[in-house]
Amino acid sequence: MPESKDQIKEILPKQGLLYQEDMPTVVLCKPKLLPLKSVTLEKLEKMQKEAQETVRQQEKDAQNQQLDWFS
Amino acid sequence: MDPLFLAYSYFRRRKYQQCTDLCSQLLEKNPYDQAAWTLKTRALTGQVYVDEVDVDEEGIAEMVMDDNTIAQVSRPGTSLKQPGTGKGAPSQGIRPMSQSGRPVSGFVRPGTQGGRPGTMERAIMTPRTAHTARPVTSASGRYVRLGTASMLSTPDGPFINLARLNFAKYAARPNLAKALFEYIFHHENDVRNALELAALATESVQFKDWWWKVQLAKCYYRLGMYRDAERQLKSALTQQEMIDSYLYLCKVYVRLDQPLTAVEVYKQGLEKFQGETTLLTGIARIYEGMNDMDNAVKFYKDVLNFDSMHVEAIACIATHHFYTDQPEVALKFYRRLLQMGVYNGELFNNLGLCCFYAQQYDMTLTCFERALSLAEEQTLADVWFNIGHVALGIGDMTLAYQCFRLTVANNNDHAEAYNNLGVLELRKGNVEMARAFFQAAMVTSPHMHEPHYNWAALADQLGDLQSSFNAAKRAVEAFPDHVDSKELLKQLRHHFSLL
Amino acid sequence: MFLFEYTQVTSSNNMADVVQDKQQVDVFEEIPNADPLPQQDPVPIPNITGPPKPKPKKAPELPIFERRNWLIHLHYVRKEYDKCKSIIKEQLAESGGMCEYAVYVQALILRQEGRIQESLELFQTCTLLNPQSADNLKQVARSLFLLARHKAAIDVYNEAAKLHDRDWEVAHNQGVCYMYQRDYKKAKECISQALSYKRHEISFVMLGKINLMEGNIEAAIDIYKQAVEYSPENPDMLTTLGLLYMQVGQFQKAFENLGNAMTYDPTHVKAIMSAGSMMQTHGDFDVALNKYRIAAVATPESPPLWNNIGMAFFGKKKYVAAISCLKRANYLAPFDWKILYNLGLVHLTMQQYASSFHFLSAAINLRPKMAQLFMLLGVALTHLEDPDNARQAYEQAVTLDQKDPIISLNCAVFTFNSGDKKGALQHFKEFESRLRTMKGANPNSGDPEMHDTASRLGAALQVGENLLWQDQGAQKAKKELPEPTPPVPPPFIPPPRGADQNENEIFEHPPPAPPSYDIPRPTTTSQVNIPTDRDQMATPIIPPYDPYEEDHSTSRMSYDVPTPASQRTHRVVVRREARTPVQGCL
Repeated sequence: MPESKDQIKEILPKQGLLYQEDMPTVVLCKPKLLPLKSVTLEKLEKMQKEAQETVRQQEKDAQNQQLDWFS
Repeated sequence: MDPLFLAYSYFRRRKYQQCTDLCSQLLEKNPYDQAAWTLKTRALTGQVYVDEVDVDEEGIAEMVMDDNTIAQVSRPGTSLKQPGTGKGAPSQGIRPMSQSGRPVSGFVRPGTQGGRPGTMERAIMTPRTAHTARPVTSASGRYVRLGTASMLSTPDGPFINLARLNFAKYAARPNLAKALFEYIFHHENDVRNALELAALATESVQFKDWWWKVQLAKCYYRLGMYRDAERQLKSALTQQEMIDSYLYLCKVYVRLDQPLTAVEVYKQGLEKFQGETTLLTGIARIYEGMNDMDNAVKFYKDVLNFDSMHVEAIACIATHHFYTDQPEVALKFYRRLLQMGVYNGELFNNLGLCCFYAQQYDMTLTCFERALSLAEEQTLADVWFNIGHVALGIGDMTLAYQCFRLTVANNNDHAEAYNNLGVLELRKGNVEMARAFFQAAMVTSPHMHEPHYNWAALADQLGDLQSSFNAAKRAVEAFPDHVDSKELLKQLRHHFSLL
Repeated sequence: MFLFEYTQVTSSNNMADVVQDKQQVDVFEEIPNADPLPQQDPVPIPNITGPPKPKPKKAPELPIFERRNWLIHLHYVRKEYDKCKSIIKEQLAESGGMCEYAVYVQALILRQEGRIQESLELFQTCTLLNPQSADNLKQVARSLFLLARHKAAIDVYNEAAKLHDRDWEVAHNQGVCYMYQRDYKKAKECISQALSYKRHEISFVMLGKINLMEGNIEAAIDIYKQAVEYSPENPDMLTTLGLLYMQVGQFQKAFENLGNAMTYDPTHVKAIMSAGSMMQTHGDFDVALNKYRIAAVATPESPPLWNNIGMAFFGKKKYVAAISCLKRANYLAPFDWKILYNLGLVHLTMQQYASSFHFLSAAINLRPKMAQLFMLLGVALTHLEDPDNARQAYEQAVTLDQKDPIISLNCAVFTFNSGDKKGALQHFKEFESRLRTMKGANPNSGDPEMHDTASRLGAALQVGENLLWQDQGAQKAKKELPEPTPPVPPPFIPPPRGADQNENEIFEHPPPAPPSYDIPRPTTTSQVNIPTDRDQMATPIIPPYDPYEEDHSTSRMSYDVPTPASQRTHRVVVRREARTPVQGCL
């Protein structure tokens, strides 16, 4: 910007907008900070997941074996 | 190398699987090798070991059919069932609530996920959402999960056949008994047999070993015999003061809904073990549960004095600051967690929110992007929900709408998102859609006051005073201090009583 | 049960009176002929010749169906609904559902419990049992009204009116139903009629409301004036009247009424809000804050309240507190463009241009036709060194608003600063003409800073030596400089016309939101002097924490954490955003 010495500053309103009355409106749910998980909980969840995996694997194996046996 | 030594080395390096395999080989050669046997027991236990102090889940049955309660209505501030008046806590309109009417905590442990619903009806209604599912009783819920190892069939049958075990013989041999107990308790999840073993063992050492008493208490606790657990723990404490014993004792008191006694016991423990963070955390948790945020934050800060890397304390303090209009401070705490190496979707989500509300816009999106890439399915919904709020903050309604839609797509029980979608639809003038969304929110989480209130306000405007009245009543039930709901209800009552 | 009843009977030997009483209460208005209850067809109780009773008087004879009406009534007025219901059940079982009074009370209880539909059905049963009762019909109509079936309600009320002439209740409720059907003319007719039968607060309120819905403020004021005369101690009506006076710019009267309201109820939140906002407009920030403190206890989650508190702090130049309060308001109501406007303004004043830009652009997204927002956006963009977009923003502002001189002035300043003297001159002329129009309407408007800036710019452009505003402004400036206390503003000068735009919007229930080309409330044009921040008196509602105190010290430390929060990055990002303000974030 040229001639910065002669710069004139803009003027800002001295007063903002005010409310004269409170009208109840609908409310939003507020933003949600997520709780961090404790080590125990993480381990529990991991264990459960692994267990589920293993069970699924075992069932699959069993099925395959059965199929083998039939064929 | 001596295979047993190797196995032991594996064990110490927490390579439990290798250790077990090796021990199995040894035992095949010599089935009477006690060292290998013990090691294998311990390795199997180690695979599934979780800190018992931290595991706490109340089932519906325990909550509703609680025969330990003395009074139905307790004095305020003396019970965890009725969350306190909330000293220094931000109001429900600012900090979201969990179903139990407690503020959402900054940190989730097993047992904080649910909270007690007040009535049987509510208790049964709540598990309808997949993500807040609560076991019917704790005996069937997560404890089963703890014992999942025992449910997996191993090719050559279980390692130890409990039915054929002579407990008296093992109880007399302290070196074997302790490992065996832990195996039964943690791996097999067979509390009754564990109790039998512990009872025999403590007898065989003439009731002189505090360890067995604590184990007995653990069993009693699991079986819901809290008074017996209390007796054992007190006796253990007179013999030998241990932090663990204090922690268990407090857990018992919490379960008996005597939070003040629990705090007392924690404080006794602190006299002996000064600056023990687990004890301090325990106190803070109880205050948090009673919605007494001033004290909770005070004790969490104490925890940080002794252990400045304590994740739970940092997270809880950060959450508190965020909801008391200080996102800048919350941001500092969460950044600290990031420095400490916590790296997951939840943290980045929180960082993103803090950045946005602390007006550090340049980082907000980066954080959320990272959160989205790291989050698992459940968290993903919440991340989108919060991004929706950011969109609202920049006045971009279309984006906000899409974000809330994505939330619902990721988790179709996300009541907050339904509520906000309803509000957005209402702004667009789609009354019917808005009603449908509010309804969905009300059904999925009846504990939130927002959808009830919104529904009531909408119905009131449409002249449907009957539904408005009922919804307003539910809103006041969910949030007794909500001014607008109370005002609406007052007006409606006036309408009805007018002849 | 029976024993209890028996003792009751014996103890109150004037039971007939009780029954009579009850009817008086229930019927609400004295109804001479429509008396549905016992006296009409007394069914004699079979004389039981039992053991001789010690009682001197014989129990009065009552028809069997109505035997326990008095008891039902007693429990009902004591709000012992459970007991009441059980007696009603017995009574109905005994009478085979023919006891009208029991059904009637049952219906009333159901209504109290919010079960309107069931209640309606019972009232309908009542009309079947006793078709001659206007009361029953009125209750049916009322139930229909509560279920939002206004047309049906009006019909039933017409029926009731046939049975009972000159009934206030019927006329009033019919009016309300018409109001809901948006037939305001008929509604007014009915309610006026009701008022002629009987003067009643609620009729006044409704009539005032209808006038407001029609947009006829003057008429509404008249009605409320009557209402206040009729019941001078009702804070609600006093407040409403005060608000209406505010809308038409009669601030003295408005303040009187609001003051009265607060005398009768010092914690009346509505009165506090509006009185506080008036005090604030006239620079009385401390008093306003003191009032708001009372309100904040009652409604801690009211966004408008926090907005006003924030702006009171802003007036006291406590910017950090102001931002804290405004941000809370924004957190509670993210859709509210006024709060965003204020946030933008405060951040501009604090020279935090990036944040200001953010809030302003959000506000513009929510309310795209507001000139003042574009002007502030222009200021923010200028300082973020994005002259192209700043120019665009100013152009928007000037075209959107034809009245506000400040917009033209700032636009002139901007053009001048960017080196375009010719363009600046043009805007400056526009400013002068706008100012003149404004002075014509209200000679006291305008603030010294505007005059100061204008004269400096005028000098730089070498025009405007002999203008009306200039010497005035100079005088004013001279007058103000020596004395440290702000001159007491003449009490309650009406601000420039057009300031009502916002209030209008607040009053009407579903805001129709026509793009307003008028100047809304704000702006420096009303002559307000902000007291200098001398008194560091402990302000009442200070947010517990000062979020920016950290900012200067440690929190903006550049760790290796990925938050390089320096102004530099802000600028880069924001400038990128600035080109596509609507596209926003992702």
